[in-house]
Amino acid sequence: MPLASKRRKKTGRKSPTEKALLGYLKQRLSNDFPNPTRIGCPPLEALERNAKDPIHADESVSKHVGRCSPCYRVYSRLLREELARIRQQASRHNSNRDTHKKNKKVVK
Amino acid sequence: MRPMNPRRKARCNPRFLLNSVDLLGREIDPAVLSVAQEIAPRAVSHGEKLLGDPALAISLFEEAAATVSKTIKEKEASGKPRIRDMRGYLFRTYLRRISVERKAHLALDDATEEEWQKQARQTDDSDIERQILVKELLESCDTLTREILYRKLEGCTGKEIEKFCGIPVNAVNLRFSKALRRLQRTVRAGGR
Repeated sequence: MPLASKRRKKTGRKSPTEKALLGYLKQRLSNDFPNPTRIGCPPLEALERNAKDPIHADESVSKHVGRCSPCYRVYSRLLREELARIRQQASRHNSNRDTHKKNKKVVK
Repeated sequence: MRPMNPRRKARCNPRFLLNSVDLLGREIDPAVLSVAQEIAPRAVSHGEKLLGDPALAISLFEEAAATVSKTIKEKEASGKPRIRDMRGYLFRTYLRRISVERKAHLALDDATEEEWQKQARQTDDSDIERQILVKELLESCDTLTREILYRKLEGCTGKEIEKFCGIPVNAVNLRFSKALRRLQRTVRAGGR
């Protein structure tokens, strides 16, 4: 039997378990920690800073997001915006590269 | 076209240059590091076959080397006899680490969606307990792992997180799979 067939197939799809676990955690974080009076919530700027720069993320803000559902929902939105921006940049970069290649071929 | 030679000799590959610190930040003793460099090409390629992921194979090899370094120090401190065959010892440690990793992956793959939904339903009964468990899980992670987890929840891929955080994909995956395993244990404990 060739070795390659023994290896696990790598697909972009998440395994159902991983997906279920992440779904479970997301649901818990979004609903289980109500904070209607927003006690101890950090300002929006602090959340934005953490969303943009995770390496230098403020630990107290990051911990707070994990125990306050309203803040988690805001943070989740900020992350999705950041993710959309990164994906847009990547697709723009790819399309630029493709046009460069096409231009080169035409010149040849 | 020339046919490929299946018995071609394996050359020393520069990708097996190991770090002197593992991903968990533990230092590797210089003596262990030199032995690790010697056996790395064969050991890591063997690990790669078992795990199917070269980056993870190298990370685990570095972890094994760091563990052996720690054991040597402990043995010296307690006056116990030295390790005679360092190569064999390191390789066995590496194999054990691989089997732990594989078991964890298999356990994750085996559980079905229904089982997890059942677990989640069971834990619905005790809101406060569940809150404490989730809170504990997140607080037991370091800030970077927590931030990786938040991004994974939004559907980020390893490469995207690499762009976000500036740390390699294999480190992202290692941190994430550890956090996921902890979450799995938490859910199980909550379901009991």
